[in-house]
Amino acid sequence: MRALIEPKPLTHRERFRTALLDFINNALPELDRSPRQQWRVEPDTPLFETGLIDSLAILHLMAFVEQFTGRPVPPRLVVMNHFRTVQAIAETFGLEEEP
Amino acid sequence: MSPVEQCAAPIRQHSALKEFEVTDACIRSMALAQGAQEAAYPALIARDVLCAAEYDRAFPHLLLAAAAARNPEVAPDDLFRLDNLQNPAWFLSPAVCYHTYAQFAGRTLVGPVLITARGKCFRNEGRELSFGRRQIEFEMREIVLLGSGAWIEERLPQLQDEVEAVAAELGIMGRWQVAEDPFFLPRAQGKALLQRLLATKSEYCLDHPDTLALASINRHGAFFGERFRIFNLERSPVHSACVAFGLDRWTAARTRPLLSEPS
Repeated sequence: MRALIEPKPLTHRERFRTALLDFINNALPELDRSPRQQWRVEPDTPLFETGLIDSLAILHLMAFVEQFTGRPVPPRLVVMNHFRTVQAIAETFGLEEEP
Repeated sequence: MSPVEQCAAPIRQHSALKEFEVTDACIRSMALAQGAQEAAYPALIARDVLCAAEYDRAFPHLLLAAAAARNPEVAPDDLFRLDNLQNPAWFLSPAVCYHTYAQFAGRTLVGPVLITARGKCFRNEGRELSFGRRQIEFEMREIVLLGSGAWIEERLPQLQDEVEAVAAELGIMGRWQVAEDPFFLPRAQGKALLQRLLATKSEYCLDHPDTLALASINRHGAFFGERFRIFNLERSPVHSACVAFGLDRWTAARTRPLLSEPS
């Protein structure tokens, strides 16, 4: 039986956010094996204040953002407001068009 | 041979020397008025100190070694051949503040420390050299802060205001911008990204299209406190920061406002 209300398809931004969470929670610990406390990241988890993203992880994170969006991250957008949380990254870079 | 090829730094005499000393005197007076204690450090710095600071990992391309001949009795042409050089224990200081961390290494601070020192610094700048802009040898005055994170965050905005005040006193117009260090290795490039994101480095740049950094504020967190085992009374590593002034650039900005490249 079909549901009465069809679930809304995910927007590009929501797909990006989901992929980012999966990358940080599952792929990044495999790429970056430095011994540190593992956190379960939620969309609003601070990524930097906790020390979760260090100087190696940020390189992987940037590469993921650029690969997913198909665009280089412009230096003008490398500011904390755009990277503080997964939500912030998704809002800035999860647009179909160039931010 | 151009002056830059003959000399690692400008030769100063008469009014040029006076201008240079006046520039430093203004900055030094500000530092002392802010409560800094004055120190004088050597030009050479021990390899172990640079390694403890991880300078060799972050900026290996900038290092200059002080090397001695293994055998001084060889023919003059062979004296400084690579295979006749001793493994260097000393390097030319790339900055002033590393001496401060070494000075306080292993100590427990009973209160915050504010030090100012002027020193000759040396960096293997591969790019085109020009006096007042990019030199292999230059003079730097630094204000180094060691203490709690809260104390440093209280003092840095005051010092930032003071940098602007000194610039105004010397007739220099500038503006602050977030910056990053020229890290070398790929992992260190991640440090540069973190620096930018965390805004741990800001530079006071000449207000001119041809941007030139005159001073910088650098927040290190507990990095040097940990590396040099400098503790507070609670046995936690202290935080550190430094405010650095490139004296050659300040003087050039005063005397050559447009900083055109030398002919």
